[in-house]
Amino acid sequence: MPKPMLGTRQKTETDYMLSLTAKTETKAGGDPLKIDKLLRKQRSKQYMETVSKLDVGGKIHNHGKAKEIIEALRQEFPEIELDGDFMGIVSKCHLGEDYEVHRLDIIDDIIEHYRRGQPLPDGLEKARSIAIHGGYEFIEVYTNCFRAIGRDGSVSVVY
Amino acid sequence: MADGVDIINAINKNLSRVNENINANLNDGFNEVRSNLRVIDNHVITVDDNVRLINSEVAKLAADFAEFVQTDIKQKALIRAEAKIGNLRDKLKDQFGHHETVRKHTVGILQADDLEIVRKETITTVTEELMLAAPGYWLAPCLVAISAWINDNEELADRAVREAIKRDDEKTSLLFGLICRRAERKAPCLKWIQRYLANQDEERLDRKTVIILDAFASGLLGADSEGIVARQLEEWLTRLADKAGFVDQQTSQWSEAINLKKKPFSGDSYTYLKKYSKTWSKLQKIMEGAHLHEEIYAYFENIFEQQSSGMALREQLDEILSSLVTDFDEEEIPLRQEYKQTELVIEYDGDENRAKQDMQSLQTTFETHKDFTQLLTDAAMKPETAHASISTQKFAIALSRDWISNAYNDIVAKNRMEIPHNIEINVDNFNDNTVDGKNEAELVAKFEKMVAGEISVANAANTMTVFEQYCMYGGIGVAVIGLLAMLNGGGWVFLGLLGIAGGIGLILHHFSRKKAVELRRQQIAYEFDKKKKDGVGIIRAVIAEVVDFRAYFAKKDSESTKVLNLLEQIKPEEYVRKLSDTSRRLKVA
Repeated sequence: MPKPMLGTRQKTETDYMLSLTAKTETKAGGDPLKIDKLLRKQRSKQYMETVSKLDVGGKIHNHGKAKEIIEALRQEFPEIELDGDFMGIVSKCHLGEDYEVHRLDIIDDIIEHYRRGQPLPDGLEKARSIAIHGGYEFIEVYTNCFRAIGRDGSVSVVY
Repeated sequence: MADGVDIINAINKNLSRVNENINANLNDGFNEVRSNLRVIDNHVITVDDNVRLINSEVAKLAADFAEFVQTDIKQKALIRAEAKIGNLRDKLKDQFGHHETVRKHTVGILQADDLEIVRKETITTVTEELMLAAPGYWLAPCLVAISAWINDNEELADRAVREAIKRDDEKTSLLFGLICRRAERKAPCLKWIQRYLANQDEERLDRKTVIILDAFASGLLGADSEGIVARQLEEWLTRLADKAGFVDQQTSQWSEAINLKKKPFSGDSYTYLKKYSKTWSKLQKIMEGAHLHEEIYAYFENIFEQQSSGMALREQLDEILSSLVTDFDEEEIPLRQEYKQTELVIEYDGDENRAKQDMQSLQTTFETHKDFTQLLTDAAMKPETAHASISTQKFAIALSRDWISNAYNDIVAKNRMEIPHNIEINVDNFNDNTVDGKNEAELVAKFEKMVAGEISVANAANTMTVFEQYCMYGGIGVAVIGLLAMLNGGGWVFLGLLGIAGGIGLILHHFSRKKAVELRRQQIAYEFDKKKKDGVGIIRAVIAEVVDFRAYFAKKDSESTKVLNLLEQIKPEEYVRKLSDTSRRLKVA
């Protein structure tokens, strides 16, 4: 049975319509070493294109875009069930003003932009610096590690 | 009355005399006690010396005794060893004497063939006799095969080789591989070596295999154009890669080896950051990580630019061949080891401990085992301790390219993860931060505001008390009252003078304090103005260094791409398969 990847936080009553109902389930099983091996694979061009459009929708919380990215992730790793350890994506924000980073919230299917001094929630703050200064396209945040994805889709893992 | 006085004087005199006598006696007594104590002291010293002497003699005696016991033990061990070695020699002769004969003849035949001074018929006769004399011993059919080979008898050679393989596939393959190498028959040499490698456990490779791989990497075993050995190595890697956690293990193994090349970064050019930022230690650490790229690039580049001679390796290969045909077989080892240890006991005059130590070091020399991937990591990154040649380093890097790239990407990301987003600026009691220096004006303004606040606080503390403020009015009042009192004349004159003096004193105190407060105010203004100027200067300097640091770090950090590109250009398949003794060079520029 594949190992769950997406976060197990329970959704609140304010959940958005486009939320994926299955993702809050925590499924046991799966070989973590095999999953790590799979997640080290270079990301596809299609996936890179989809995720790099994180701030295309501007400052508005874009649920549709979030869902599209989540779907791209599912297609990227059909062998892995997207429930459990995956917490979200953080990348450098190019919206200007004092916006620094944005994140894709997997649980709430939203993209949020954060200004200077505004901390990222749920342990994602640790990814802020590498997202801004690291030169990576974006950072995938998991409960046990960060996967920094380069422009060419190459993967670097930090535990 | 006069009589009474006389009596008292007389008593006093007597008392004085008694006192003098007592004193004299006491002094004499004390002197005697003192001299007696001195005598006792001397006696004690003498006793002490004697005890020391006895102690040293006892220690000497104990040492002599211990030496005697040791000598006795050694003598007995020597007698035992001398008696034992004869028995062991006989046992060895009975059980493995024929092995020894085969080994001696193998060396002899190989040398004779090199020199071409023995008739082929003689070789044939001897080898056939040895085959009969050493049933079950792997080297005997090998000898027959060599003889048949010399005599150009293919059928016999083929049958003998089959028998040798049946008896010991691994040793037979290695022996013929090395003989073929000496005979410059490289194609069969590679086939034999592949067969030898196929007999190895990829998780427990010994030093001998390491040398063989080194020879292969150096092209001494011929060009592996058909990929015979390369396929074997790929098979090992596939089997290892299928093991759980292999990728993680590889990545951490390489990360560890690469990180060993890190060098400390002093950051002498960042004087202000060093002094005025608590973030400095983090900055220093990430810069060490960024400088690593340059180190690693130079390290890899240097490896691929070097030519290898292979001379030392040829000697090592001959040593292996020599040990194959002269060393004992596994079944002989326990008896041989016992023999060797007994021989050492005799050599060291019965010193069994020294003999044991020597045996241990003899055993461990060739007994180190490691898995194939660890062998590659050690060869690439620790060539001195792994005794790896330049060729093996190239070969190891080429074969491990993907794992090195993975590990390198992770090392780079880990270092970038440590990049502090905000860099602290700590000047005096001003603590703030900057990301990229863009908030310089804001920080300077904050600092000036802080200093202005401090000035206000300092000035607030530097004021006259209410008493001091009213001293002037009070003084005038008291002086006027004093004057009026003096004008009244009579007894009031003195009090009036006192009042005038007191009033003048109070007025003077008021003006003196006023002057002091003013002076302090000027001093505060001067001090804080200096603090402001200096502080602003430091803040600007720190910010300039932050900007500098960020730019320099980005430059050094981007050199990781050079390393990754260099690794990308190494084509493992191509490199391993096209290895040849023409010292092919891999282009990595």
